[in-house]
Amino acid sequence: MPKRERHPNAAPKAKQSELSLSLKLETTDKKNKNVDAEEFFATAEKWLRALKAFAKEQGQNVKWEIVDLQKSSALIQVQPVKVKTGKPVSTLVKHWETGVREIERTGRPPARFTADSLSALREFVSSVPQDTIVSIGNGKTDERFTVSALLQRRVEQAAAQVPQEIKREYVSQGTIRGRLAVLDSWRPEERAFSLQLPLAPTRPVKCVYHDESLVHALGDSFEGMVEIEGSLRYRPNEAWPYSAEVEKIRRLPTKPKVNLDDLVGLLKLPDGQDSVSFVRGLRDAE
Amino acid sequence: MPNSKPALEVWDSCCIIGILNAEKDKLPALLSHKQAFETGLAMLGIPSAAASEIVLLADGSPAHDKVQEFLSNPYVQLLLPTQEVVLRSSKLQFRFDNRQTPDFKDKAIAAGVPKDQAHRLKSKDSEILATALVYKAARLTTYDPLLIFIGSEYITSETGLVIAKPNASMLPFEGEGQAVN
Repeated sequence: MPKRERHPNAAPKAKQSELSLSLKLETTDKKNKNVDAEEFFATAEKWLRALKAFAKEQGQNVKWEIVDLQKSSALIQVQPVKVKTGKPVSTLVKHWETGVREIERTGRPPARFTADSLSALREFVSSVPQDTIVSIGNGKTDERFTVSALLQRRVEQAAAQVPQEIKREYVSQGTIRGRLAVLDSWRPEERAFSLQLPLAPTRPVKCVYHDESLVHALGDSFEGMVEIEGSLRYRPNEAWPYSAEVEKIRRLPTKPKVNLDDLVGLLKLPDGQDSVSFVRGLRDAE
Repeated sequence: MPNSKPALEVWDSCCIIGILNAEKDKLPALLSHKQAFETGLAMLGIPSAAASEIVLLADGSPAHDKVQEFLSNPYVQLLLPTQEVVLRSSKLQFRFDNRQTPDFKDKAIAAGVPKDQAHRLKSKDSEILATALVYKAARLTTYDPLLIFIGSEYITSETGLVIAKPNASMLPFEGEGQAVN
């Protein structure tokens, strides 16, 4: 009997439709049925962000795998799988779907949706591209439903009923380091460059500067690692800033000046204490 | 321009101070992590809260110049206490307190945490844990028994963050997790 080739984590088609969630975009432009790629990716990103916020609130450490992608109909289908085991988490799919339908029906926040996931859902449903029909659902074609004006209104209502934590952008003085990625402009009124952070390489930080003397430092260290100091602007729930107003810039050495080995023996704790009891003593005394 | 992201390993103060104090029981395991940093597989994250606990060197001179030189290292990332870190730290202290979670202390003691440390997560420990969570670290390396207990009992299954002592055979980061003692 010939062996069937199947991905080890892939579920059979019928079962898979219950384990996955889908997003579909269709254009209302009868002359051109093709969906704008930029709009598709922007919408899909917000949809995925809403799914991730929901999974996080359920305490689920999952990643979302693409299980279907159809170019012809601009459809993407994803499935949450446990990071450690790779096993699908069907409850997450079920709770998300029933939750969104409940919101559409009642305009009230379901028990499993809290401020973060409702905020992400609101951002997704309120950003439907112009002249486009966006549908969401599980893997079954007949169970997909449209992101309508009614759903948008109901999500707004539900989100308004949940007490919001302080979730605003904020600015904080600090430093970040990274590689100078792209020099956006040398024009005096909008001098800026992009900084690629080692731990968030796909989300460069736009760094604006006004001090002309920084231009020279920039030119010298272009493509090198630098540390900038200034006002860092953060979005809620994000660890790294998305923009910065640069006040100082410092080139970082390409090779370590002081390596881990160089630290050995530089300190002698009193009375033969070890680091664990020393740190515990410091923290307990506070 | 590379888009691959190294794993982030956050060190608690006791790790850096253990190296500075040349503690023989800790040096081999801690220094074995260096390879992952030097090859770009991982970055060493030092929370601000941990960096500020290193004050004085053996010769009586202040430690800050040496700390700054070390922090300039290409594989070291100083992790700032942003608003997210502060709020997460506050949430963690609220949650990991015997008054909020009645069986917290009993479970911690059963896992080997000394009684006098088992009743709640203190602010500096909480800030370090919050830093590792907010910056999405793969690993928080510490010798603190309460942090290790919280990791194995709650955090690792919820977030994937491994909280453990240094491990000489630490690579890869995945699949870790150890009990206290």
